[in-house]
Amino acid sequence: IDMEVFNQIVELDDGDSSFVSGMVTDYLAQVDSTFKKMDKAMETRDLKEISQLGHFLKGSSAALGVKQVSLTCEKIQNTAKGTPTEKNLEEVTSLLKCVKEEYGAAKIRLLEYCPT
Amino acid sequence: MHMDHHHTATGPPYSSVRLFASHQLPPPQVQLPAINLPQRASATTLPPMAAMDSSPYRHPSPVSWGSSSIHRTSNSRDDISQREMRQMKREPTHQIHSVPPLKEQEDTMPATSDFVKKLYKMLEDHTFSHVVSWGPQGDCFVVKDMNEFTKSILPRMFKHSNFASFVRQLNKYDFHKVKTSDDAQFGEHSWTFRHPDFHADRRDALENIKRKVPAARKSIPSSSNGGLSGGRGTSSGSPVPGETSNAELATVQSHIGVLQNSYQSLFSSHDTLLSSHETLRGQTDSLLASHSSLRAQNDNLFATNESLRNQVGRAEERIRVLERQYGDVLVEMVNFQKGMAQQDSLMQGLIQYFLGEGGKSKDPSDATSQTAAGSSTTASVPLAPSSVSQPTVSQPPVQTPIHNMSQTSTTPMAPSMTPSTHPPPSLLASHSQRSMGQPQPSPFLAPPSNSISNSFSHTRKPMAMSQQPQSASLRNPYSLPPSHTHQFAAQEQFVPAQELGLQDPDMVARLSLVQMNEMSRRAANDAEFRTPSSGSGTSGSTAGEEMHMQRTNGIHSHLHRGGQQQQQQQQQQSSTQASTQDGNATFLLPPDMNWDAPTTMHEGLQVFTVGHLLPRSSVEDQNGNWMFNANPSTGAVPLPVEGEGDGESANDNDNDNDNLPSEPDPYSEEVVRPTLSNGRSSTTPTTIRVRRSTFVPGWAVPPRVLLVDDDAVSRRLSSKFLQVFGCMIDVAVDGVGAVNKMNLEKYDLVLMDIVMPKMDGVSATNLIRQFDHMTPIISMTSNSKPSEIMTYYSSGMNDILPKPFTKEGLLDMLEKHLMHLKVIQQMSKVPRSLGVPPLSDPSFSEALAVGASQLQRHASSSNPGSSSNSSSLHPMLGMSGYDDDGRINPLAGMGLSDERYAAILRDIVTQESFSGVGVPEGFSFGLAGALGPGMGGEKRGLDDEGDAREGKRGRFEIIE
Repeated sequence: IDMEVFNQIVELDDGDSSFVSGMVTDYLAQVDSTFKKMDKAMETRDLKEISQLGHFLKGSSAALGVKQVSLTCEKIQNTAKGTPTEKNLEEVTSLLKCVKEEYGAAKIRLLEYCPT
Repeated sequence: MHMDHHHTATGPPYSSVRLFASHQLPPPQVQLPAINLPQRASATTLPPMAAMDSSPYRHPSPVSWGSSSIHRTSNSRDDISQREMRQMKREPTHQIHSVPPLKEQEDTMPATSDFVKKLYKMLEDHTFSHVVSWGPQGDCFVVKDMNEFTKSILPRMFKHSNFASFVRQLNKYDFHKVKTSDDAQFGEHSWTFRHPDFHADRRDALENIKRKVPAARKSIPSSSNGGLSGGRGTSSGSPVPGETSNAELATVQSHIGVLQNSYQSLFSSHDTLLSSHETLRGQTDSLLASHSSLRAQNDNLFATNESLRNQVGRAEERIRVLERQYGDVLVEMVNFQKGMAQQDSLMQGLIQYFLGEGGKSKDPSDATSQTAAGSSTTASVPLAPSSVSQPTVSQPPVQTPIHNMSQTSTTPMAPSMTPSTHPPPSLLASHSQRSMGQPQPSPFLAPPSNSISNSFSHTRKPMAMSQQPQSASLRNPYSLPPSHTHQFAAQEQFVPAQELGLQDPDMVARLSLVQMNEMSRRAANDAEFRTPSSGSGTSGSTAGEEMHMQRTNGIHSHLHRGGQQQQQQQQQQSSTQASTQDGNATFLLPPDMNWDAPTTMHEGLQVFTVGHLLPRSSVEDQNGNWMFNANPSTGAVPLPVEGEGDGESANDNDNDNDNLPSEPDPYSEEVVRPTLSNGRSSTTPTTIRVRRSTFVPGWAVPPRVLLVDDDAVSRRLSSKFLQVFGCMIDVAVDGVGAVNKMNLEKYDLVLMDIVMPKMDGVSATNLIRQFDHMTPIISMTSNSKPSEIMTYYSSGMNDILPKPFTKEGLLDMLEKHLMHLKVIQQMSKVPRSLGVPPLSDPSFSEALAVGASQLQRHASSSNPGSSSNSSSLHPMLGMSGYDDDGRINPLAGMGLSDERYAAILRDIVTQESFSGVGVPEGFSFGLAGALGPGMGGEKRGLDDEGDAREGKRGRFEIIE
């Protein structure tokens, strides 16, 4: 997690941690649903959809400073953008696995900062 | 190629024709002798006929003759040569055969065939014996070596070298090849021929050797010969040779005819061939020509090809150049956009500057007021007399015209007071300090509201109300002087107002105020026009002239605010000074607030919170602050202090102040409270906002921002940022929503995500740009490759905010594109902020003290500039304090460096220094319409917002 970015959000808070925790909750919920969508897209081998979802996740992760997830999502986005070959599909699958792990780690840290 | 082929194809026939033609050429020459031949033949044959007649033992069979003559057609050449030979050899044969009967021999010899004779002669010649010779018995001859015979003898004797035709000839004469064993003796290649009449020793028998007659042609010659022979028979057979020669001639002639025909046909064919040759030659020529032309064309094509290739090369080069240029242009465009932003900022700076100038131009009037005030405060003694005795005071204008003016304005005031029921001193004091006492709160409230001319009367009225109780008569004189001054300025408009005012003081006050506003506005305009032309520095003198009008206003304003404020300020300064002297510091600050808080203080607050306070709540803040700080302390505290402060300059004033406060304060409270109460309600949020204010730029009007993002987290974060930055936020979740919202409402700014469902940001921007060309659209995206950025710009976006953006990035972007909303505020607030210390900062009280001491130093000099300078000092100090706090540079978004910003601020400060106070004037600037919701309650705030919104459309129209 990029603390600089995250701290900015923390600073925005009014004093109670409602904003930060709200953001984190939103983010976590959003990521979870996006992962679900991605899994679904993987089943239908819809790489275009995956690319878009990757972009989406990249944006929101970057906004919160979840750097690793954002980076991996960018990789997913770019890989999935290419021709839907078997190789790309495999790569995206492994990246997806990777990003989920990263997200898991980030989630724990985020929750550390703002217990909800 | 096809032609070529044809050409070559025609070659062989051509050459063959030619060969044939060359063969044919000789015949025409031969033809002549051939035609003559019959005559010659007849001529030559005549004598032989006689000779033949005379030869008895010649019995040539007519049949054989005829047959032979006919036969000759087959071999015309041989015939001709044989015939000639025979004719030529007729004589020699006679000589040869001259042995027994010479005549007979001569006669017989011609009868012998030439061929046989040649044959015989050949065999007689011994030089040929090794090749050809008589046989051993003499009854045959042998060709011993056929090759040699063919090679050497045949050409010599028979003029040809064809052994086969020799053999054929022999056969024709009935020679036969003999196959004998003797052949061996002459070798394999020997040929032996025999004829029964052909003997080496029987020469006479040679006549019997005749040509054989072919069976087919025998009948005709034989019949003719028969007829002839019949005739010959009667004429003793002698004419037979003549007959035969005639027949021969005839056949020869027919031969010739045939030949001629053949020649003719050959000729014609030759002609046709020639002509065809000619045409062919023509064709070949044309072909050659076409070939050459084709070659030329080919060359041309090659040349054009080459040139085209060159052209293509050149075009490619040009394209490359153009591409490069295109790239350059793109870069240029980006630079241009940057430049435009800078220009914008520069323009803003200029506007500020000019406005400052305007403030400066106001300054003189303020200065006059100040000097007037000075005359009232520092030189309150003369003023007091003036109040005592009108005529003298009105004359005293020993000072500059400006002072004169102000004096006149002040002097009438004094008389106006005198009629009132109050004791003169107190009146005088109330007059001179009127500003400080009763009207103060209201004018100070008013200034902010003054900015809005419409609402002006609102606050004014109460003020007038507050004044009313004090002295009803005060109103008339009050209104009169302005009218005088206005007449002074040849303001006809005001006359009716004055008349009205005479009847209805309130109305007059209001009208005069309104007019004053207009005047000041106009003056401001004038100043605007003047200052650019005259230059920045000259404002003092040139503007001074021009400021007549304004001065009149100024006088007016003196009456209402200017004088009061200045007095007040001076008082304040003096009071602060006094505080240092008296050690009444605890009391000092409250009075400050009391006096200044309404006017300068809350402005000051704003200023200090430029970039700190949430503009949205500025109304509340300011009012709230004011209420908090000022109200509690207002009571009696400020007045004594003020009195003390004034004590230095004029004790009278002190006393007056002492007296007055009790009166005005209630009024002021009464007046003020209604308006202030609004602000009060929201004091609690204020504190919070103040705390957070560190980041917030001060907007004149909360910018309305449309946030377009599909990502809830980003959206939430962005909107939080925007909220903190004091923006009003509207949200759309995709391009379609954005377009719809843009269609329905106006926004100051659009933040547009690019990758979105339904409609992406680029196409949404394209759509929006079809009906809205103005609203800045900023793309928020993480895809910020140069090519993509170009796409964004080309779709009509104004800027790009790379997606994981920081607070600062967003703030910069907001400030860059919403400068117009800010500059107004800066223009109105930054100047106002100057000179007003923060409430609870001890350093400011110190600063104030320093400033006051400096002022004091300069106060003695009547030079308005110096005094104003001194007054500007503490603004400066205040500024420095502001800067020291490490606040954000509000102009950062305009592309100004901090240093430049500081410089601008200094400029503003120095300009402001001329006015000293200048704030109220600033309000009447017309631009002040946009001053904002903070000043005049919520309702006005909304109105202002509308104004500002208009202002946004044409940023520079505000100033006109």
